[in-house]
Amino acid sequence: MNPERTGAPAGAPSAGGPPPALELESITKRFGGVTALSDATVRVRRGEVHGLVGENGAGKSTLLKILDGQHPHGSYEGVVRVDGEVVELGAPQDARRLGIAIVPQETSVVETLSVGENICFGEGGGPLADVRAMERHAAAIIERLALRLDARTKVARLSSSQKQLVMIARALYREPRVLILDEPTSALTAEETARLFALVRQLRDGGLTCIFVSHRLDEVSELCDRVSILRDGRVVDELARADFDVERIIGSMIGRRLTDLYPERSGAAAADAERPAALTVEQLSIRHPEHPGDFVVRDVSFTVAAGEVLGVGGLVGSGRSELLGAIYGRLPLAAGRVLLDGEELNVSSPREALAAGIGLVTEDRKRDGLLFNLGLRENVTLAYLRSLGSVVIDRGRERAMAQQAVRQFSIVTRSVETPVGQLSGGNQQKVMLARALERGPRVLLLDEPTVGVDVGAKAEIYRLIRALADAGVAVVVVSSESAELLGICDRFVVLRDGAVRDRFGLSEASEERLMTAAMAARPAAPTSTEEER
Amino acid sequence: MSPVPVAAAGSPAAAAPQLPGAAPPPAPSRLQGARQSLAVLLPLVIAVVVFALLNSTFLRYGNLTLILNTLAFVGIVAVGQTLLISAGEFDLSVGAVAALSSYVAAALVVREGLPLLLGIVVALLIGAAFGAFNGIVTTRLGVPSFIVTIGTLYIGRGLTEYISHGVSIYPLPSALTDVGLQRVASISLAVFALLAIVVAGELLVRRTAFGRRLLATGGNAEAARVIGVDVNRTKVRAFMLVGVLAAVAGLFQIASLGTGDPAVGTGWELTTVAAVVIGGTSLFGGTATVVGTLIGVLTLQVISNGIVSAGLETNWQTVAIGALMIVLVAIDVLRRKAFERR
Repeated sequence: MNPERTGAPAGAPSAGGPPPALELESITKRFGGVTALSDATVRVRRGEVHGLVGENGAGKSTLLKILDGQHPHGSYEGVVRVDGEVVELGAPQDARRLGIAIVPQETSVVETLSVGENICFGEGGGPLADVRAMERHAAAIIERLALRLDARTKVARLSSSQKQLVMIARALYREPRVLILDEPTSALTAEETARLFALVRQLRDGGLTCIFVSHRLDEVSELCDRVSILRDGRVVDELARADFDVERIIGSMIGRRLTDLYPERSGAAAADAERPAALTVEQLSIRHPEHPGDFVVRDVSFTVAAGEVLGVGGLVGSGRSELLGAIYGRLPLAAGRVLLDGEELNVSSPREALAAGIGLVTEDRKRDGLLFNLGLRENVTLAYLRSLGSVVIDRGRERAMAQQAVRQFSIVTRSVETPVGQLSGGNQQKVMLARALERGPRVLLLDEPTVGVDVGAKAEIYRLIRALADAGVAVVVVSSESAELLGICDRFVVLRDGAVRDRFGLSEASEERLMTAAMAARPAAPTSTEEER
Repeated sequence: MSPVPVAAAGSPAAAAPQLPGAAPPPAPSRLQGARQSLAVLLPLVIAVVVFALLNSTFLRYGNLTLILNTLAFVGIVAVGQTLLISAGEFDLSVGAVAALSSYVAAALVVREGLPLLLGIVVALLIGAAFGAFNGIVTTRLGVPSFIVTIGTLYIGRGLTEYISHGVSIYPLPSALTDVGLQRVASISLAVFALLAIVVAGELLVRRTAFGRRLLATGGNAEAARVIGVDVNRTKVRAFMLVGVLAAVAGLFQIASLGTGDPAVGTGWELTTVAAVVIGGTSLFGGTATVVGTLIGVLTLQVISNGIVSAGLETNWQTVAIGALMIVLVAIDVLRRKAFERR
């Protein structure tokens, strides 16, 4: 059965009912020769949370930019209606005026200003900024939203999830009729996500219309009343809450039924506990960068055997990335030691770690992952230039090395010279994997290996990870997605506040156990406080 | 209407089937690169046309070789500056280093009677030492290179004043001045040295592991570090290269002047940065075009020569260069934004 045919867009305006709060009708948007949206129609009913899902490049961002006026009226074909009336959005200000507020995926707060100033920024009040008044107004909205923030705190001191909450408060401060949340949970902990969802539901019940864009289908199914599915610039399916079915959604997103996202385990690797450890971490501690005397990782010990995939669970900020960083020589150890094949490893830089046989794929491709000024070829070969000549790079061999990586990792690209910025998220991730593996490491450390990657590429990355393990690499995977960890790992360690809280094998593993260990008795976010006022 | 499979089979559009979710991103356009090099040449072409119209003698061979012979010294430094800027740092001490190293060489050779070769080696070592100092303070202590190299600019100029008391050293050994005065078809040896250094610099960027590390460091130092690039060492080496090239340029300059002059290299710090920017290398690091820098140096020299030969007030050249820099950097920034928006 073809999912494309099953769901004819519902919600067409019926004669009697109220018009949709928001209606994008037959939108076609082209960039040069590329068609980003093709006759796409989305209708969002008043007072519903409407999910928008699709792989990277399916057209979600383009749709949002049209709604936000960033792609002005006239640069696309089709009609936008708000409450049944045709509107022409020429600039983001037009969207604001119509009560459409967007919380973009990337936070854009002013670090040097207070929470209050950030929330009320640019809102009336004449030429002089009355900071006190701003903070008072902001405090009111913070209280209404039950956020754990103090309007007077400098934004620079907030965590990235708190900054995200500031962005959301800023959007809601304008009392919009339509709130657009673009991947709002990627920086949030599970607890904060739950709070955000409660808030969205409460606002919806108060009449707010909301568009929710996310890669996490569990979140979409949990929160949304309806969902539109985009693929290749078309709306291929629309489902009401009663008909939600993750497999069908994924099927529509990728255009085929996904039988299994996760690869078969070879079995042997998981079972064989007798196998010697490739990587051993003994009582490792890492100092907190800002609070001397405090530690971000405390007394962590584990082993990983060759051919095994160890999953490290825990919330963002539990010390997972720091743990990988210390093994890889990016952070100094405060105590403990790391052994590779039984021998103590003393690396003080990533260079030495690479030479010793350890590879790392970082979490954030933009911050410390890829070199966006260079092409695919240069990005892949940089870790192992020495093999291409001591001074002058052998261009033929370099090309061959890059082409080999493209084949091996099925990277979709026009050529090895393509700038990495032009690749999709999934392909960028594969470039990072190829690079980390260029020197044939014994141990591979993966920090959120599928963040911002679409479902199809995810399945491929999982398959690659399993193939590497089968080839004898010891793999450590850090991930915030419990389903992902459960799907690809053989054994699990869960961190909370820098210490190991639980460890278990595949047979005892469950999402509940992972989440319980990650979140139990977690103290409230360290901000401030009602008592101060 | 039937589809036309046969006729279209050879075209690239038909060769790439539209796979759902797997459409390859557009290829990097060569046109874009060509347009960029055109943008770099445009100010030079305009300047040449304007000055040729203003003054019939501008295009005479004698004037053209004068332009080349004048720009050679600062051009050599600008090559080094390009490589350093591509790694995300600058060196504002180049002029001072050129002056100090060449003056010390002249003093050692003329006043102390040391062999010329030893004087040259000492000059190059001074250049390397200043570079190493700039690089180490910048990378290890985290002081911005902008500040560090303004500091060493003062230190270099101060030491030169202290040694020279403003007095030039004359005459220099004929072995040195012969090199400075030698002409091939009215073109000085310094120009040939510059061309050789430009070619070497361009090859270094495009073909060597060091060049690749420079671009990686300038593009994203943290990512480069994760991939195993020794970012600090790469930067220190680039600083040392600039220091050595400043000494080389200083030596060529005193050889051509015939005197050890403490005022050598005045203004080179800004001229070289301006040339790099005009040449199309991004001030933000991560890209490098040494040939572009050569065009940048040429543009600046054509403007100053043209303004003088057209009989205009010479101060206009400073104004013109300042305006040109702002316009070109603005274009660079706008292009970047346009790229990001796509």
